[in-house]
Amino acid sequence: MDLNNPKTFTRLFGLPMSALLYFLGVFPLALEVYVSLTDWYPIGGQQYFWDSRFIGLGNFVEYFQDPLFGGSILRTVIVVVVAISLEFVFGLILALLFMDRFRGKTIFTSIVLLPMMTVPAVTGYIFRMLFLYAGPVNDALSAIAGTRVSVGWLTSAWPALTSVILMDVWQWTPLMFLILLSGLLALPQDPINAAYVLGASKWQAFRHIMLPMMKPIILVGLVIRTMDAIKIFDGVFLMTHGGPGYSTQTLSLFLYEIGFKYMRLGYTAAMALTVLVCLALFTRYVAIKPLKPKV
Amino acid sequence: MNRRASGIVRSLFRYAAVVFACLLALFPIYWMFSTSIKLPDEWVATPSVWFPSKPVLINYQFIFSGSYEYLIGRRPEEATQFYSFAWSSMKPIFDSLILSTFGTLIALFAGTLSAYALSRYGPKGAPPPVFPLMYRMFPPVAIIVPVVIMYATLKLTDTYPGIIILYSTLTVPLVLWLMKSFFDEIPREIDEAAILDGCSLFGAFYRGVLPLVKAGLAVTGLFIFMLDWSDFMGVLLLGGRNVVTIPLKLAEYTSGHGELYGPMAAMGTIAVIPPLIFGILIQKYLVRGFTFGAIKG
Repeated sequence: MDLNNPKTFTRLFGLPMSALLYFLGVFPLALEVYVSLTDWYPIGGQQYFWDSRFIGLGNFVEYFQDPLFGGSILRTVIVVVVAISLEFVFGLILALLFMDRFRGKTIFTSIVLLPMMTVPAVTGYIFRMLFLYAGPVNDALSAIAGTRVSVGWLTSAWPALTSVILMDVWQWTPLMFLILLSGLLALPQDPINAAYVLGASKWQAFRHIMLPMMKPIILVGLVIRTMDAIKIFDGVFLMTHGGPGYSTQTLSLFLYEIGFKYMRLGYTAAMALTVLVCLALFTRYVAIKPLKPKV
Repeated sequence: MNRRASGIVRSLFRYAAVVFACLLALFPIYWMFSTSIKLPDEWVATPSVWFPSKPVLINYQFIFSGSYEYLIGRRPEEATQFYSFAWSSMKPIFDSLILSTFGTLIALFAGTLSAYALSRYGPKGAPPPVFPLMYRMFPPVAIIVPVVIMYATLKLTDTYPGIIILYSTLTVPLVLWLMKSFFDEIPREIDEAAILDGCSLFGAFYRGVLPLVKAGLAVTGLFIFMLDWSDFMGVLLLGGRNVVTIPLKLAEYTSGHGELYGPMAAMGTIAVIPPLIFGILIQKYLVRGFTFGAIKG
């Protein structure tokens, strides 16, 4: 083996990582394809996956008619779309506020970034406390409204979904802010100054010059946030556990529930496989593009 | 004059908005911290207690030593429950540390080698970058069924090596992309000069380029440590009895011991301290970390 041959060298250097990725990626994926075609249900007597019956595409037909699967996808989409829109708006406002120099900028930036460094599971727990029936959120609302407001944030459907969205917004607006800020700071100044010279207002310069030039960075932000928001699990698990009822059960929570509470592993594998294929296509054809030119 | 006045108004407005944003960002963290130093009757009260009347450390004492102050006046069966709760609270901190440290080291080792190969010799030997990116994209729960089977067969479920391998695999794509972005910033002439000086390819990497990306390695390491430390789903699905991390312990409290808000807040406070410190240390690079190196920041 000639270590000074670049080909051998790169193979060798890629080896540890490939080993990890194959061990917990390619091999499990193959196993998942098989399990998804069976009715494996360990607590029904089929202790190992090879004891289970081969049922072809039965699982795939079943989940199409499963309102809970569709519902969890719908809820995930609602959370992703609403949360990311809010994060984008707030992040952009913050980025514009922090664009120029001002006294104390460094320390203010650090404070604004704290939420994204918080452990997501802990965030879920904090927001559970905040949104308690007798929690500070209801207190603050009461103080503003003048009368006692008692919203059962965690005990009724839409308020619970709202609090999940608010938790995500609190935690991840800072990331959107950081991404958009680095985009704003990297903008070339000449076109903007030229616009001012030609008599553009601040708003016009922002809307017609800065925003279009920031499009690649905005895409990076949206793609990154979408990738992560689709996976939302930790915070929701600690805050509402998917409840009340199914009202905050997002995709990850649903898969967790079916697989590890009801132990319908074959069925879970079928749904998981579908999700994986969809997300892989999304990564391959949508997510990679904004990330690639700057790689 | 008019112009100057409007400048002052604008800067006042900016400060008001910035301070408001900071308050929003800080309030939930403040709430957890203040709950962690509140007496039991102030944890949940109507109206809520915004400032602890008498800051106390009993919640922390409870976590670290199982202080008996709590047990006074409680029924015996409650007392036992509380005691076992306290007894098992040191282990999660230890487990979180061990798993995150080793998970980070392995991911850093594997990812850095691949990143160097990818940066210098293109995607031939190393895994193509889109493949690891997909790993980052998938909800872990979607690949977990076969992993659970594998782990059960290989007796890796609920063991330290099992979880460490899981952490390394989940984070190695990020190491690859981040370290690649750091390697790309080092001119190739460094490698070429080292090779001309008689270094082997490995020597060019180890003695030539690696010392130049030390800062990048540190940043990547801290970033990955933050991610591993924050993991919840991994231990939830593959750990539980032997391996219990801080977030998992928190989840246990919410279901099993709902009324213990004070100690939970104390635990949460301990959980967020390392990532907050590391996060502020690598603040300049956070945007690069979260965007796979796409934005240099």
